[in-house]
Amino acid sequence: MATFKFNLSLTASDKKDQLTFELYKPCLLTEILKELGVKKNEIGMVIVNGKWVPIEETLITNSDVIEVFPYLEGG
Amino acid sequence: MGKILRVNMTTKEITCSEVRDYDFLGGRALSSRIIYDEVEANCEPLGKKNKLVIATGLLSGTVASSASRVSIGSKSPLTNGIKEANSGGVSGAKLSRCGYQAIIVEGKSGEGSNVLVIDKEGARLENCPELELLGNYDTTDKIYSKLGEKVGILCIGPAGERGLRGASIASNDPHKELKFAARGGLGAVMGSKGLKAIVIDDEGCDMVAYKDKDKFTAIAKDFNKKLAADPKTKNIYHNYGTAGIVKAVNSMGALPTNNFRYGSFEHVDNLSGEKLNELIKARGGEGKLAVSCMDVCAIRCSTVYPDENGKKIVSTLQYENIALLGSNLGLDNLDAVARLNYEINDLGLDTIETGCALGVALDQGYGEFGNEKDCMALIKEIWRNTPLGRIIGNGAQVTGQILGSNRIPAAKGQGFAGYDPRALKGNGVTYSMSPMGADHTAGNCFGARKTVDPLGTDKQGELSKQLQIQIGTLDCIGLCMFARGPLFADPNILAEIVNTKAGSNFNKDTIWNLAVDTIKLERQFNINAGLSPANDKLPEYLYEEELSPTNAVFDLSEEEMKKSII
Repeated sequence: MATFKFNLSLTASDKKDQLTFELYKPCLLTEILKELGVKKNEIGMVIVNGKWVPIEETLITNSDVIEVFPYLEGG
Repeated sequence: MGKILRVNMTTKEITCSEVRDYDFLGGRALSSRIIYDEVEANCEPLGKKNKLVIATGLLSGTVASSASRVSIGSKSPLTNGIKEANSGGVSGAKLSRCGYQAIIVEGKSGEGSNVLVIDKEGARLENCPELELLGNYDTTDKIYSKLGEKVGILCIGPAGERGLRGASIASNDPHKELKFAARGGLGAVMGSKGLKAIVIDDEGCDMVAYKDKDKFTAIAKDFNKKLAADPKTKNIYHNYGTAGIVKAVNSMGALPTNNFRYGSFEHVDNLSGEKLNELIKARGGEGKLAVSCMDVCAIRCSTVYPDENGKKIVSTLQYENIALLGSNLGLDNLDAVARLNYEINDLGLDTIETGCALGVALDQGYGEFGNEKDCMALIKEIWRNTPLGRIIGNGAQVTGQILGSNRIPAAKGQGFAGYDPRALKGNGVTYSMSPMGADHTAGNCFGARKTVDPLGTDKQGELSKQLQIQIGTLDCIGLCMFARGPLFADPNILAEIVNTKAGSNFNKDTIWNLAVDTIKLERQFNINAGLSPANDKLPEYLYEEELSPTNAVFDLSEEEMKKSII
């Protein structure tokens, strides 16, 4: 099962902030996010299994935990 | 341009002169230039040869949003190099309305508790022994009672009066809350001069000058609208303040925890921006979100944090305070953080520096992580001016050296901000290489995590350099760094808004020279002060001790670090 956690102002299109589902094959992160209705230009950072990942190139597999954050700035 | 007010604390002489050599310099550019020109680089930071400069920004006192920060510069007693710390509040705008571009405080008074009062008649020094060793909140209350509630105030608490190197300078905001020019121990410099407060009454003053007021106003209004419409403003700052980033930093593994021993905190949900929002809304009363710290601000990232009964504990509870006084001390609830925050504000200390120092003290056995009473007991030592209190009040480096720690989270003598440099390596570059020491506001790489791997070993030097220039430019104009969204998206706005106000001739390419020239000057001052490239480094334990959960160490090459030099 892959788990997506959306933070702060970000949610999936059905307003859920956490989703868990079966991934039968590795999929591009960008494609999954598009499928979930998350606008690409609203995503600031993605952490997969505790590590930062480049959004465009990352493949997600079935056991991954994915944390998605909006654009944020540090003070 | 405006005037420079020169206050000699030794002779009590006050003079005023037109700004001639400093055209188009404001904020950090002006404060650093004056320090470079007038202060012997090898002087004692708390001696009579050092000076304290209070400078306004190029847009100060106007209708441009978030543009009236006050910049304070000096030779730092923490870093022994040049330092600039800027703050929100109303003083910057009021100084500009009174016609002043900067105040230079020099010399040293024989007695403390002097107050510099500035109004439409000019400036005068008053001795106010009744303010001696009062906390910041009582100090401002007494000043409001005496001089009215509409004045701008810059003041120090007992920490600054006692020369503690972690001391900050408080700045009152439109709601009579306090903001701080916190970093670098500049409150101790102010205290060393015998100056307790600067009070600015701008009633009857409207000295803000424009090159083209109509054009400026049109650009400023457009900028304000863009800033208000920025998703970060609407979705993040208005709902979570700066605490919105707590969970993100934790997820990256960069959240300081138990004296920077870990990079994530198991109770992070209790310290998050989401929890802050939930508690402020649920408790009601005096609690507030989306509070401005200046008269004109679309961002409104401040908060008022209430207790269970809705009574205010502190304003504002922000990310750095939550990181350094929360997870870094092992504390798992915002109420405890807020109570510590209040005491440190009242003492007039930098919450970042003091959070680092407390973390080191706990690590050395002077209390337990996660125990608010132990932390509060150490803060009470500072109030009582005991030897242990003075050690902690002098910051993380002194605390670690005296208490025998070899894990001191500091660079150039200054405590780390709320990002462990092992898991956000660009900030390790900024901490060690910037003339400002371990100050995230000199070039925080957190905001660039979409494009550069925070754990990667390349591109970090260039990233830090770019951010030092970009954020430095905002510092030189007097703009809040949270205003950067629309300005960095279209730097023409930045150039035009300055040109129409100040009469300069910047364009989208040359506006950055404000920071480039300033940072070069600052670096030269530090070299003149004896800070060699050997000081451009992080503590050795960061190169060896793995940080969980990423198991990262700080492993950037010297070559990579040097790419950040401007």
